[in-house]
Amino acid sequence: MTDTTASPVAPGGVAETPARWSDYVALLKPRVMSLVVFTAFTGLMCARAPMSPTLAAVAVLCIAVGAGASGALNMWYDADIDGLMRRTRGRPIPMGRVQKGDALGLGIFLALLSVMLMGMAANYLAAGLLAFTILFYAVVYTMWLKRWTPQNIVIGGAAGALPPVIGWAAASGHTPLNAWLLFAIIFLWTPPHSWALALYTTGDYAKAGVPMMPVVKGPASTRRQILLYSLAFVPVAIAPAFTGLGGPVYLAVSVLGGLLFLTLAVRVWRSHAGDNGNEAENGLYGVKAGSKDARNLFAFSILYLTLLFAALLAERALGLEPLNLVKAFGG
Amino acid sequence: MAGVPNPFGESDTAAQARRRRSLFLALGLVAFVILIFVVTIVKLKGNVLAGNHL
Repeated sequence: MTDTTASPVAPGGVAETPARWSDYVALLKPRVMSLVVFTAFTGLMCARAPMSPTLAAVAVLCIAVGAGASGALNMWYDADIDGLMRRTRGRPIPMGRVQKGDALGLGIFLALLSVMLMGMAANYLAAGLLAFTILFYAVVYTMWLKRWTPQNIVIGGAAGALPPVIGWAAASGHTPLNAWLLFAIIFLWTPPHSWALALYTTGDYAKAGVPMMPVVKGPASTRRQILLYSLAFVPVAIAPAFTGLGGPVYLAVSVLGGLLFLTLAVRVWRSHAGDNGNEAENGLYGVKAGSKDARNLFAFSILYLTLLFAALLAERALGLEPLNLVKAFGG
Repeated sequence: MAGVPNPFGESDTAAQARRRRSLFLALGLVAFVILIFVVTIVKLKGNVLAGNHL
């Protein structure tokens, strides 16, 4: 179960090949960073608070750098298991191009930098939330939950859900219920999204000893939980249309997309995804026949979340007023 | 510089990678200084316009 030959890193994490600057960029998980920036910017815009465009850009940059710091700290701590999984073995540390200590140093430096700059450019609430998010992801999720419980991505999902709240706080200095509604959307989206992927990469996680839900509870239980979380997620995704956050475009996107999301979740529930030790054959989207429903849900979940936040942004850009049917949520 | 031995005993590839890393580090530091300057000026301007300096 511990095939260390998969990693070319010498004992002690000493790199064998010279690091390029792009390896340090890879440590920051730029793909994750782009989603974080997108949701944080949406939160910032939804706050409808007067803010200098320069300071708004710096605030979003701080959130991006903070997310990058979390990624570097995650790769530092997970270097051993990253080398065992096909999805992650190409990362700079398992490939032997960056030393573990360098990743740790970069992560700590960028974390301090981003929090300090956020406090300076925006406010201390946003800086505090950013610091909490980095610590939660690096310590609570990476060092504790990930290798301990199949609920790892459920609880750890809070770190990925906080960026829109940080953006909102950076713009307005407070976090009303609508900001936390954006948090709830990403928080409830994470389990079906992550478990759909885990269903067809079970072998990878098992090899690395990561207790993902399909590894510990089995595919049938995971498929059932995907459906249950989807049933909880879709109403919450539609809710902003009734709380003064989303307008008619958001209502249409969330309802239509939500119905499709539920349809795909039901298909996963009724499928045999994960039953045959399904292993991705070609990246994130290549699967054996039995797991195509899980792959479809995984792919659509990314599109749906993107469309939800894009709809909110588009309504701000077009000047469309929110429906505001339940004013108690505030703006 | 051809023929001059590398003082760190590293290969040409490693030396080139190190120089590129140093270049990007320098650019990052310059960007950071400019960023702090801009944020300071914008915050200062906001406070002056709001009359907080009086």
